[in-house]
Amino acid sequence: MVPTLAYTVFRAIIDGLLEGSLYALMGFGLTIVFRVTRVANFAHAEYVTYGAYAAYVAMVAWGLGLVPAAIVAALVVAGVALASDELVFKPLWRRGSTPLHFLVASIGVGLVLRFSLQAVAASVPGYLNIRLPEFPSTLAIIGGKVAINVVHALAPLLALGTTAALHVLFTRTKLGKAMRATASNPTLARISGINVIMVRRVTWIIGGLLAGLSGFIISYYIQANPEVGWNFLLWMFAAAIAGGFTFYGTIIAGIILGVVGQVAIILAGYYLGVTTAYKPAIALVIMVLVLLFRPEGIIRIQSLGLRRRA
Amino acid sequence: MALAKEAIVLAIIGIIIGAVVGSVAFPRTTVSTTTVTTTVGGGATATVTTTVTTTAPGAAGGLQGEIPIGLAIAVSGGYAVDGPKRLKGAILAIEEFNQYLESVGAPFRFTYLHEDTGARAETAVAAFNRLVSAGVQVVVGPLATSETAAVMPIANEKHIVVISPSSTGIAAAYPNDYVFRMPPPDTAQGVALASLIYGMGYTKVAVIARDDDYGRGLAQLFQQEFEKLGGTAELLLYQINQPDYAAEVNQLSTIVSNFGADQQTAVLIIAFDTDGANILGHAAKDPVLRQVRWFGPDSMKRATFLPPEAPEEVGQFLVDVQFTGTIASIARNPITDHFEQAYKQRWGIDPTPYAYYAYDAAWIAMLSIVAAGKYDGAAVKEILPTIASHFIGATGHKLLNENGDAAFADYEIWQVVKTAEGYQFKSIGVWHFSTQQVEWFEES
Repeated sequence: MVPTLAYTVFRAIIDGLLEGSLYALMGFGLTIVFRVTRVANFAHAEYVTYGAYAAYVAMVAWGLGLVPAAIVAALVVAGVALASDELVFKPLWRRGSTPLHFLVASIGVGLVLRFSLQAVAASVPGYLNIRLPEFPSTLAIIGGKVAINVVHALAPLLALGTTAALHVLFTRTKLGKAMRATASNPTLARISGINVIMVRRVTWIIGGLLAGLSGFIISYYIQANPEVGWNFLLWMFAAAIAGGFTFYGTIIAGIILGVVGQVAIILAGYYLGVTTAYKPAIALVIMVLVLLFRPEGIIRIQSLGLRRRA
Repeated sequence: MALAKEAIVLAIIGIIIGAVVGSVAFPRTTVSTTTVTTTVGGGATATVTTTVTTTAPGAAGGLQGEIPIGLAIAVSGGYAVDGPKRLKGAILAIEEFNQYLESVGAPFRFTYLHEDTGARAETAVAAFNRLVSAGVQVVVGPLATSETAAVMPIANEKHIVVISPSSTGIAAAYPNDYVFRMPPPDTAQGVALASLIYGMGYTKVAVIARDDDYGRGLAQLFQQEFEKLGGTAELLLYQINQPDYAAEVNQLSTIVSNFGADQQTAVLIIAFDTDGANILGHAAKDPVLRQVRWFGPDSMKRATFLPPEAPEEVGQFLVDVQFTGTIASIARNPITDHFEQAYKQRWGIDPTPYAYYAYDAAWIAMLSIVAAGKYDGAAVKEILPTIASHFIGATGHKLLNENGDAAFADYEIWQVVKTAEGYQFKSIGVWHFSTQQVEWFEES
């Protein structure tokens, strides 16, 4: 007979994979924008929230299905992200702002986005707490104790699919190579004839698409509200920092964070009586340790055969 | 000559100072008696006549112009859904009171200043301080016990009267302070829940509760009372404002599995809107948690948890696990009917349970200010218990105990059912405070 703890840990792993995939998708968006534009974008959390709401509006108000809702979420947030850059970050960049200026400005953009949404959501009945009307169906029940549902498969598949698509973009297309070149050295990229403005726009759109998809998964998986993205901010930054703000490092670090966070807190609770209140501490400890001892990230990109262009 | 001149000047200054001090210390007052007639409806129409004797101070001070009532009521965070409905209850009371003031030609009106306390202690303190800075002496709110306990030291220090329409946790139950609470404290609800669950044959209960003053306080009270009866309760306290509670539901499932997930095992969930909806969403998918009966306190009787606001699967889950709970019952009277009609007419929706208390809290606040004859927290604090003890509002009689909380209440027992009209909280019984026994309306 399989002990109860084994089921608990198994469930923690599949929940962790799901959460980790979300951290990876969100962290990847942060990373790509930071690498290309040097904006450590706190407003990325709000993009996720906007994705959740866009998917909800698409399904409830427009009567669309799940897949069209996901596409709408991604496109709407891509637009929001692009608008953020065009209206705030690009003008600052042209004025020679530093990454610190960008960071502070992104906090401002985030506050404007969050409270604008809150004001609208509060005025429309039923929009303060939302969840997509379609409940994830159960795919399998393991041992009569652990249910695996659609989202458990969807989130990792979406993360893997996105990674594969972006891998092709970065390694097989001129645009991707231009993005990597701009990420490595914007000045040299411009001198080399790369249209850095176009690269910048594509970067923000990709970041927005990823945030929109994350928001879609969140509103499919749990109940969302105008603060839902903000509540994930710590984890998306933890994934990006642990991944050394590298493209693939962030994906792997996000998934590791998700699984470690779930399993560690379950085992700590089971053996030491530690409450789940300490779960966010895991992300903080990992971030502090990485920044202290391996600021380039915990993932060795070279060992994965994806050498970073410095 | 010069000396005489100085003496005259000093005498004039002395007379002016004396006149000012005297008029402030002993204001000229007039007493008037006003009869207010209110027609209340419902099943039957009745006329309630209230005689209000007001002391109208003279021109030197007293109630003149606009008198602000602070509304420190959360409309975001855990109260994003229900908070606005409670706020509407308080605003309705202020609007009604002003109509009465206008009809009797009173020289003052009540206004309100609303601050969103955010359902968190730290944001509640910030919101409360903003109200204090604006000169507010009497505040309706905050809602949560954690918020109420957080603003209590400021209220006591600055002599600001706080009347919470929904705080019930023991962390805000102190004698001789500036905090008053309209619902009964959880000391009664903990006993009610324990006797209800144990009386239904459940001896092992997994409790999942918010790790704040309300959740922790009620969970511990329940555990204490339940174990006194002979049962076993294991607490799982979770941090609030997390993005997801999958790990907590996993732990809860483990506890229930270890209990055997049998006919003697139950779950008690103590949550607010956002966290509760998340936990129930995960639990609806959990094969173990679906096997046992679920219970909840007052905070779980919210439309957020039922379709159409919640997914159909969550509603069905709550029906399947016979989700049952308690909430302080309202002693219905003609004012209750009047409030329900007026609320529906003013806002177009039905009031939720704690909107009734918000309405009563605002009424008691304004009556106390009028009775005190001045807009002063210390004076209002002294007279408020007397006003409350003679007050019958939408929630019934408001006699307060030594801590300034509602002294007693019976508890309604509700259960989630599915009817032709959809998912509903059906009243299935009552727990009597006087006998500490449950009376069932029908076989449940």
